[in-house]
Amino acid sequence: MPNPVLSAEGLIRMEGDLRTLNGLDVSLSRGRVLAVMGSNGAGKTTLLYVVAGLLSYQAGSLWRRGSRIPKENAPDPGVALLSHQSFLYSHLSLGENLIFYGRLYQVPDVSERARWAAHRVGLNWAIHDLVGTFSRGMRQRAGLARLLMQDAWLWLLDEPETGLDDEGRRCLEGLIHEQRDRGTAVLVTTHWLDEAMRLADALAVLKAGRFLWWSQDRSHWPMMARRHLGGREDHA
Amino acid sequence: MHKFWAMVSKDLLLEARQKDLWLVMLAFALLDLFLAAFSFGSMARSAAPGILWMAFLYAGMLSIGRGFTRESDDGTLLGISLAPGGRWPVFWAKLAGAFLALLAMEGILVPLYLVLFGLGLDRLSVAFLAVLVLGAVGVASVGILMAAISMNIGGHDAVMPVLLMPLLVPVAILSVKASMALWVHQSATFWIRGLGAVDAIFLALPLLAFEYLWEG
Amino acid sequence: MTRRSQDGWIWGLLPLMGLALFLNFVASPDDRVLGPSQRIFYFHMATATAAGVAFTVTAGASILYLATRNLRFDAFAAASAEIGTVFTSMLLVTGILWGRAAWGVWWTWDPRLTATVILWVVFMAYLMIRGWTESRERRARTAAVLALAAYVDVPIDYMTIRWWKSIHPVVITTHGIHMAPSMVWAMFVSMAAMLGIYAAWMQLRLRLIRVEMGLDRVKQHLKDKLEG
Repeated sequence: MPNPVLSAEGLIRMEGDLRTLNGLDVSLSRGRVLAVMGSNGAGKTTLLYVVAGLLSYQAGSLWRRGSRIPKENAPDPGVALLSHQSFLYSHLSLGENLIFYGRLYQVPDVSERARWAAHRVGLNWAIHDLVGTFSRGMRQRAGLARLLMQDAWLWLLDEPETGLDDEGRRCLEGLIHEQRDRGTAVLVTTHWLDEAMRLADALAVLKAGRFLWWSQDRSHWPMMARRHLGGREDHA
Repeated sequence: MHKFWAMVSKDLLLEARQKDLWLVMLAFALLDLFLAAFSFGSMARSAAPGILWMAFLYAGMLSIGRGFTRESDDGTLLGISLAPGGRWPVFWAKLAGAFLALLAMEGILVPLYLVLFGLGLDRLSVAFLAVLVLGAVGVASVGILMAAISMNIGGHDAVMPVLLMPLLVPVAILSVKASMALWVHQSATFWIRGLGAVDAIFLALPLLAFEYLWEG
Repeated sequence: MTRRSQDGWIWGLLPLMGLALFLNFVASPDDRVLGPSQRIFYFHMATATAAGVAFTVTAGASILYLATRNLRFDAFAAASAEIGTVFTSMLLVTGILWGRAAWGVWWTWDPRLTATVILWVVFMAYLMIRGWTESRERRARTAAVLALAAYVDVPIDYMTIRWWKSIHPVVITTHGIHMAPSMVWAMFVSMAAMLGIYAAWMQLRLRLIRVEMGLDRVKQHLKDKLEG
């Protein structure tokens, strides 16, 4: 197996007396897409936040691009995170939001890049509109455009299909495959097996803060998802 | 540094876009002025510093509270934390934003009050301008610290007024006393020094404590 | 050690308090100007000392908590702040009564009185805010920073009557203590008795906090069990 850009062994995070991550192992190489399935409260979001460096952990070890991350943890500017929240200001236009993030990440030709990012997610027509006026699906696309304003080596996507229509899903799929081909590693959480099938190279099932099961062999996915998550493999 | 400037210019853009707060502030300032003029009558002049600083503290409380709640808008604080440059530029940008907003309010309110109380614009001495700047620094730094605390414990609505009001009392008293002394052409050195000391304490405290307020 | 033997020393406060009361009401003379109302002073000064010590302990424990992240220091800070607030309330009440007797008014916006009221309000806010936060670590961190911000007022309060022209009397100066010797004795014994009360309350309150924390753990454990 090639050198992983992201790996963790026996990761534990305590919140009060609760173990939100409980001895989790993960390993992800460049240009690979790992889908993580798990029911609500299994620790998906916590996992993404710890990997992104927003949350500390108490035990185990975490490596990002070959360097060991101390337990206090710190954000890595090369990690792009799409959470349930868009991280965008509702009183700024999409273009202003994208330019703001482009400045934070110091990308060159920031307005040009903002136009390109908005175009890439199919929102070039709304670039001057306030994000506060966007629908749920548009907000989700705008969040994806934000990810394009930084040059990341790892994408973390928390249930990215939420609120997207069919065209939006195709757009997301295109973006993920494009990133994968550029060598970005992608970790995506989802509730839906068909989404995992379309997007990912590997699937892991998360339960009570650890991976119960992990496989690259797609033929096993439906059965395992059914066994561990109970009949939720298709969009309702 | 780029992060600081990106934050400040973004905050100023937002401030300019959301004008409602400035209207609320002006409305309050005028109401404050009318009530004072009616209730104090001929004594209104000697009460002017207190009336001025009251309008000013109220406006400061509104705008500083918003400076941080703005960042709870759809998780933007997380987005900023992820970006390179760490947390300090965010702190300094918020402080600078609050300070600039307060200076702008002073720019509007002070001439208005001086004219309407018939005090004349010649009261704008260098020492008085120093009091205005030091007062703004004090309100901004206490306010930012309390806003960070309030945000840290889930942005409870009552936190800001409950915490900020009592802690601002020293800044308020010193500013009023200094303004009063200056307007009757007395020395305000003692009060200005005190104001400087309070500013120094409340600037140092967040520098020591801000890291602790912003952990996962 | 059993609980009873831990608390045994508290009985020792009884003779100390008795002595303090004797010195306050019997052994010391009436004030030449203020008359018998002077005797409020012994309580007033003693509660002020206890409040000052209590808030200083809160500030110190808060710094130690931030440095070590040991929740025991947070418990110390919380207990001491509660007790300090009670002493400050007593301080304000005795001050109001004495002010009425000595100055003829219940209240005046003198710098020292103002600073004391601010102190009381800020620590009330501190205690309220402790009750609003759910996560224990987060609460401890926020509260520690807030305690330090609130503590800024303590030295200001102490120095107001020395810096400002306050109508509040200055008793202890660099030139000595401005009182008759029997009054000085009454003052110091009252202070010692009040500090003894502070120590006793601290011990009981800390034990109660430990019990509360244990109860929280049991509740959490049961919740985890029930939710599987």
